[in-house]
Amino acid sequence: MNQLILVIVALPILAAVLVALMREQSAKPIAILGSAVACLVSIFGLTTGGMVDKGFHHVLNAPWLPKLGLMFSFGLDGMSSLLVLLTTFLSVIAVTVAPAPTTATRAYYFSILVAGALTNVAFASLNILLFYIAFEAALIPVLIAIGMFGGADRSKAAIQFFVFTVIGSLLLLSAIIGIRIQTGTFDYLTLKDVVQSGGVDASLVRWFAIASFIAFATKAAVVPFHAWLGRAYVNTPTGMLLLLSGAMAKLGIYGLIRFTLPLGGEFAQSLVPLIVTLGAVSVVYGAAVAAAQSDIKAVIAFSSISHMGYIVIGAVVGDDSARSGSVLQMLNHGITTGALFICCDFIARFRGSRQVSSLGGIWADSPLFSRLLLIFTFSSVALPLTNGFVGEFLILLGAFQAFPVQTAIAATGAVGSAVYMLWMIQRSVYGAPKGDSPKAIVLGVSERSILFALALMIIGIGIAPSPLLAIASDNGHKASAALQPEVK
Amino acid sequence: MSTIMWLVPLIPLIGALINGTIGSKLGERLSSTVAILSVIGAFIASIAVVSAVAGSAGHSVDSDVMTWMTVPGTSLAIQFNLHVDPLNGGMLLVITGVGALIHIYSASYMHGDKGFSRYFAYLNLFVFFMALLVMAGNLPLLFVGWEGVGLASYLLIGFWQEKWSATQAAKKAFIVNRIGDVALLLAMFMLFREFNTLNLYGQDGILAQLSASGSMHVQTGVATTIALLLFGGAAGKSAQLPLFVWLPDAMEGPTPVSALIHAATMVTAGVYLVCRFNVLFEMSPVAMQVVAWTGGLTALVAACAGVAQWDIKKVLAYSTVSQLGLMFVACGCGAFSAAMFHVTTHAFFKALLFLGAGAVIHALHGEQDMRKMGGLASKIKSTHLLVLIGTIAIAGIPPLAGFWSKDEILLAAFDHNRPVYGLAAVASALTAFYMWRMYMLTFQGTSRIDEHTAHHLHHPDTRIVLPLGILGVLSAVAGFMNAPAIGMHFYSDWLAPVITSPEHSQNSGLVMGISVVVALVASALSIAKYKSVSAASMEKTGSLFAFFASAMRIDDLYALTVVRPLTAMAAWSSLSVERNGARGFLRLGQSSVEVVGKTVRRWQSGIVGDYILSMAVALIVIISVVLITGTRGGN
Repeated sequence: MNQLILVIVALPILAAVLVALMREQSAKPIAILGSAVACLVSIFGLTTGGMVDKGFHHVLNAPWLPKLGLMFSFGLDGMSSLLVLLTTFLSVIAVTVAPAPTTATRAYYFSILVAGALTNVAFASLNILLFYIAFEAALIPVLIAIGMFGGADRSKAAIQFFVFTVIGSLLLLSAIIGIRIQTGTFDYLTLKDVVQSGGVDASLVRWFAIASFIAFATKAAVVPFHAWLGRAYVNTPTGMLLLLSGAMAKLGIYGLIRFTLPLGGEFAQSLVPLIVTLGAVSVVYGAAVAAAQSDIKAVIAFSSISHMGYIVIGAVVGDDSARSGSVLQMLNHGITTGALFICCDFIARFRGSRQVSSLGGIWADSPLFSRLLLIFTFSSVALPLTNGFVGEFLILLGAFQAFPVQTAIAATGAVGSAVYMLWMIQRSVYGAPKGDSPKAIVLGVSERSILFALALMIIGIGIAPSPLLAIASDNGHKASAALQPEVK
Repeated sequence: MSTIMWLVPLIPLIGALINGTIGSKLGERLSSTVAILSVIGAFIASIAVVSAVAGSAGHSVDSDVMTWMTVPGTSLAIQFNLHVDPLNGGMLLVITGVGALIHIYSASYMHGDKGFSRYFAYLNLFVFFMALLVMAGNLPLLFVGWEGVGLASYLLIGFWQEKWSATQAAKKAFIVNRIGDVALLLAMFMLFREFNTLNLYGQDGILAQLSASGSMHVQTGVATTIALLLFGGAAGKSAQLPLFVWLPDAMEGPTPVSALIHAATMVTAGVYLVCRFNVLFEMSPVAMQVVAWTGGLTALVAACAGVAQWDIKKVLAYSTVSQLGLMFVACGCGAFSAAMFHVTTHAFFKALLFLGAGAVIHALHGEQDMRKMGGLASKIKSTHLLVLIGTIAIAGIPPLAGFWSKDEILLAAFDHNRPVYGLAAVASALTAFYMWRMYMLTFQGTSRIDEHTAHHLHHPDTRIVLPLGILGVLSAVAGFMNAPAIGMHFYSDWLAPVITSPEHSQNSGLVMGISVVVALVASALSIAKYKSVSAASMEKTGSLFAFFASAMRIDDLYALTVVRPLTAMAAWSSLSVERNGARGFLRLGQSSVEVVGKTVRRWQSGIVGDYILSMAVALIVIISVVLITGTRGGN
């Protein structure tokens, strides 16, 4: 089953090609089918993977450009298989639930499918150059989606998004090249062993730590590298936004766990207090900015900065329960924030506005939708027995042991999230309906079942997170080429 | 026995799920029956559990059914486990017993409301979380109940969602509670660091480790910090200074909700938490002082506010804050059993008073302003009689329940903390005063009710009078559970396995004498003042009255010092930093490196194509680097 990851990547690509070739009307069914099968395969991959915490399963090594050291080198551990599952799952939702634009439908589905596939290449890659290429290339479909189907401010959003990310990426690229020059390899596990045995110049390791941190912090929108996020999220069409906020931003966290810390040597360790502090600042700052928005989509967008702040803290503090909580929280954030963005989209479609000043009384005519929205909301404020609580609790519990001050600051985010989320609910769901003819929010069968499924996951993970935590705890931080049984 | 314990929280949860999903199709009768029966079921299960506790050698029963959170390779394993001993067993009976009565009452009170089944779903959900809170065997599970009751409280305060003031109050309650919750979370993290477990009970549990180590292994400074953080959580949930501001606003919810959640049960969770950790608090004299003083000051401030209210529910709300303050006075003076005793008697007479006030409000078609009441004694006789019992009980007049439980608190304060005793004694005098004021304005004097309402009074039906009657009896006699002066100490004996009661005090007679005199004098003054009060005299109130009425303007203080600065900062971050930050950053780049600037402008045209181009360039760079440096060591 070593070709599993190829299947997971190839299916959406194949679907994307078919979408491009076939008629507009058949675009959506093909996209759904392709992404759904990929999702099923990735569930299979998750359940068939061992949890060994020293190696990767479903390993595949095939030459691409061997002279360059560029290999199709894939492998999954618990963390990456969860993230691959998340990406394929969000792709299914992205192509199913959000309405396609009326023109250029095929380009829309094409971009979503390709974005998902490339993100998965990055999550599964054990070759650092391949990772870099996928990490970069996944931006192209996002830019296409923003440019063609984005909101009113789309050109500014795209430019800022692009420039910020590309600066980070170029730094990362320079570090990767530097390492390659010294070690002659792009292979992740080999590099890890070489770095840990002191085979790379300290100055180069230091540069790798700084450069990769900036690249990943920008991707994960850690304050102050987050400046692109607000405008980009608000102007990205919902389908693509699910992938961008739910899966691609996680590449930043994933990169910190997978590359920055293991390959950044002792210098990366010395950055940890700084990163934890920035995480805590992100939690508080993101909440404050979210509280000042008047567009509900912007509230959720900025709340992402706050939530990602927790995840960053958990990823780097070096505590096993915090790190596992952080990996689980990546999944949780994808589910919850995705659900909330979908709800924003529904509200905008049926009420004709996302501004709280013209919203209100949704419960009065759409009680079912409102109940679901309330569940998503309380997941976002991390109420116990929802998924959000498990993740945040483990992160904070683990982080507190080494960084009590930063953790205490981050913990105040629990108040912040209540402020902005409950304010949003009060203004949009409660009260009396506003506007000339507010339309009740009607959910179609597939939309309803997806929102129900998301709500069930939220509560299911909240009550029984242990199986997922067991997978999440296998996050490869102990992996090395020496211990890896299958890699040659 | 052990698995049956789960019935206590789970039956109400099932009730909540039924009403929450198909409740609107059931009709009022069926919907309320499901809800009432589920709480009665929980009550019966609680009786079974408590008798098992009484019969067990270790004075406790435990159940551990499944894993909740566990991370492989770490010591962290959090279970779904329950524990009942005398301390929380007594609370369970109150929660489910008083809860059942209030469910019955609600069936009549909420008749005709379009959210009828939703109301019962929320109310059942509350009982589920409240039972979980007190039964939880570990701190995260306690936190589930802790935040869960906060959720139920939020949903019920804002039950009438179309009313802005209701949703505003709901939001405020949740947010203020969350401030306390953060403190509780941090306390949990510190306890985990000290004891490497989050389990409360058993040999390795936090409480056993605390008792075993005494003050030897835990530094006093650490004990103080943890105790104060726990108390911070308690101050949020139990509405103590400076976090009490949410409770008066919470009166926006339906009156039975105020009776159950905001008087009898949820707000006493903080007292329970402190009593549960009595060993820890005893380790830190500083924490004990803070608890005692906070309780005493809260009792006094809220009692002053209670004197200046016109809204009958606000009187009771401030009264609740004040009584909770007295409970913390007890804790801070080491009389934890007295605190729990007052939790119990207060649950009876305050629920009685709230439900009585609800009956009055119901009779008057929603009128809550006491200036528009008066002379109701002859019109709703049974309600009048029962509220009178409640008033005597809370005023501290013997031999009703409030007298006995309050006396224990005052005695402990007299013995251990004389200044706080002063605060508590004045608060008690004020309590008697404002409660008689409420009684007189509502039931005595001439009627100030408008003609129309007076002719169409809603007379309470059985479902309203029955719960009132039961609570009336309990308010009258519950004091005899612990009346050491006349040789009764059932309740402190019952708690003895978990909480040791203070030694018998020499000052008992003196303090009791003062209490009786103070209560009687304050009551007499109040009755005399409000016996025949004219409508005109009620309009003439001074600035001190206004100052008291606003609870010393603490809300305004918050608005000025916390809310407005934070709002302004958030707005500034959003409007200037977020809106212009990215552009500013790019401009910086533009001016310093002209080339970059030009490119940025060019990207505006065909961004995707150029992007691909830049990637291609990057790849070419890589390829050339690799080719130049050769494939040494490569793969």
